[in-house]
Amino acid sequence: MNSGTSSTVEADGKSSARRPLAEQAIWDMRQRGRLADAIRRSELEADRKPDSLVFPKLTCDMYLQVGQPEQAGRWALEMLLRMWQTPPALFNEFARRFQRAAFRLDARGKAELIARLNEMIDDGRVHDRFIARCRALVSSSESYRTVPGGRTKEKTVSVKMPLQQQSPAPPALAAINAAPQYPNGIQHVVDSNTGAQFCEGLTAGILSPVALVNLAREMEATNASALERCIADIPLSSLTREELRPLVDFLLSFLERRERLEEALRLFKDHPRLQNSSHIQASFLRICRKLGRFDLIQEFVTRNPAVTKTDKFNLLYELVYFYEAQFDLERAREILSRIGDLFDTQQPILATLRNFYLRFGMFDDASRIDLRLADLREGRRPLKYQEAVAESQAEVYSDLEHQRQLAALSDMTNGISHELGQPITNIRYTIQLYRRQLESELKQDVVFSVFDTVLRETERMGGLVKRLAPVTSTRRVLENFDAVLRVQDRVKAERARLSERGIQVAIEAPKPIMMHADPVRFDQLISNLLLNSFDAISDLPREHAGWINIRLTSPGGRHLRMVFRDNGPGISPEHRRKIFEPFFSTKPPGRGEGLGLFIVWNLLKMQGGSISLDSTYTRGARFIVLLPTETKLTAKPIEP
Amino acid sequence: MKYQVLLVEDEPITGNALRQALSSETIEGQGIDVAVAADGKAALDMIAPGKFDLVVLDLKLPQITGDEVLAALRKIDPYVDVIVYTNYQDPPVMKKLMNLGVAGYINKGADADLWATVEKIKARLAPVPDEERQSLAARSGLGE
Repeated sequence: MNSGTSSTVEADGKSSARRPLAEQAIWDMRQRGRLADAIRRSELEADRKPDSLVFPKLTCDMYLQVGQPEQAGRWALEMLLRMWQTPPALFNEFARRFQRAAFRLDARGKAELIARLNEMIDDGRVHDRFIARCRALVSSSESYRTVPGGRTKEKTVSVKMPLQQQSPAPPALAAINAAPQYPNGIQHVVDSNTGAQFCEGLTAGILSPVALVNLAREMEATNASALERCIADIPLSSLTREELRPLVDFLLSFLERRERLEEALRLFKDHPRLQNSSHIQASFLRICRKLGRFDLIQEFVTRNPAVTKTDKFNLLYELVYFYEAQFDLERAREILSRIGDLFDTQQPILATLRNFYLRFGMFDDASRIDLRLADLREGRRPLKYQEAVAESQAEVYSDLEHQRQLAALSDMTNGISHELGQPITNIRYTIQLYRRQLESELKQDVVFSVFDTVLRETERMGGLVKRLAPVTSTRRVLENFDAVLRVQDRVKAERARLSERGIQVAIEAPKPIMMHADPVRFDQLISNLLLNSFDAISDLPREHAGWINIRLTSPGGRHLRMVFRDNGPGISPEHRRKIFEPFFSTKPPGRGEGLGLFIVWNLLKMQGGSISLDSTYTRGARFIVLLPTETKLTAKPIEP
Repeated sequence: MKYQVLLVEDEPITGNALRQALSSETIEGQGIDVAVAADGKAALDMIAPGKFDLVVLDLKLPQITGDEVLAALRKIDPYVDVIVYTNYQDPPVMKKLMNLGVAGYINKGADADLWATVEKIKARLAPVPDEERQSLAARSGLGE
């Protein structure tokens, strides 16, 4: 990923050490007054990184700077959409910008902006914890009409300082302050320790439930623990009147914010009528997840089977987590698929979806979503940026593949270093030892035994090199051939070795299986498997009549399926996990470097195939090999 | 009183050569007895507190890593000097070893030098005064 950093000291004396490259470029452009370019670049970066909050924020700020509040408002909303997994404190960053944009818009523009925010909330694309505050934001924005010819925006070069805004006291507070029963206004309510007064406010009808909710919101902002104390005394189960619903709604999310999850759950149970709202449902699922109460989620899903067909993103999101926790990947996949269908044009949701697919190792789906994301971006972008898009989307999942390959390569090179080191040490020590001994007396038989040792050890090294060749060679020649005939030829080639040991080989193949693949690699694959079985059987006493059985089929026609069986000692449970690792061997040093199955595994991986061990087979070893009949350059491995 | 060395090495030719070389040497008139263990398990069977003057431990042994063997050895004899030698350097393993207390480190592989190894081992065994031992160690590349 291009996360280069640069470090310069600015004219204002502040060092910009550790600022990433893109931000630095944007900063430079702004310093030079090239705001339009800076905005374009920032938008590009925001599109390229759908998880990033930095660039939407930056873009919004710059649009505010150039006096385009409509665009700024859009980018502020984009920030909110991306704040699915960020700390709640960042809400202020969004709210501040939303308000600034809304303030600068005319009545129509503002109405549009607000409508868009409401729409996002209704679709479930806004995280539940922000909804209450969004509503407050909307209502306060609606209450203030833009005064024509109002405050002129000051031009400012530094964009680090947000504009300070004085907001007049919100309505509810004003109401309290004016009510005669509360001569000290809000202070009185906040200081009260009992919910009785809070309830009195309810029953005496001084404050409507909505005003109460507003009051509660303000209390949360100024003195949350006082509010907690207040509601501790409220018999929450008694708040069953329908009109109290907004209050209960607020209390539910308030309790969750304060991490009083058990109480939130109880509140939910006591108010069945609440349960129709999808926000509440999503909150419920989330609270259960946090408490680990998947049994409750299961109950809920059983009682409301229609929930899996919802079109609300927040619910679908929770359901993915639920099915993942239940190891029900089938259902999880269905939900993910539904998300993809419903929100096909929503980039932040698609990005979240892509990340889910990556988490589940579903790389094909992840790349499909990446392509869709690229398509969506394409509509807004001039042609020259397409390369950048293609690059960044390939990076995401190929990084993981790359890391895996690097890890495998690193294992192998470490192993090779050691494996070569052994015979080298043997040779050196032998020569160094006998050199001294022979200084006093030159004995021919000693000299010859040294030579023999050296020759033997070089053969060992040579054998290592030869066995590695299939993994290291890069020439690829694709041909058409019949896999069955090819296997027969390989067996014939090893006949001498096999019959010397009395091993029978049987090949079962109902019909020819045509492949379009690299025949040399195929041969190496079969040879290694044969030798592996041969080695295993050789460990048993000579009297044991060894056999190897190879069964070739092509179910579905697009893959070759080979079942390789032998009646050797088999593979013990503790070794099963390691047999495909490089240099794992149960043999003493010098006899079998433990590369055979690793090479097989690599050969298959290179051709988009796979190998697995049948752990239920007890009469020896049973391997199942899958290989596409048509070798493609970017084939993904198949799981058996 | 001969010096007792435990050599933990799975390659027979290497182990044999080192054993022969050490046995042919003396330190201030005292010979060196070398016991060879071909794997970690054998090493643990052979060791007892104070039995050996030095353990020479190959890091890459079949089925168990050198640091695991060392940890197990230390449980039996927490004080015996241990020199690790290997042609395989794994930094995380090296860190673990340093924590377990290792007196030195010798390279095999492409730079393997039998008699230099013997000198290092002798330097560790011999009752040489501290400054001399340190300068010896410095010259032969042994960390102290």
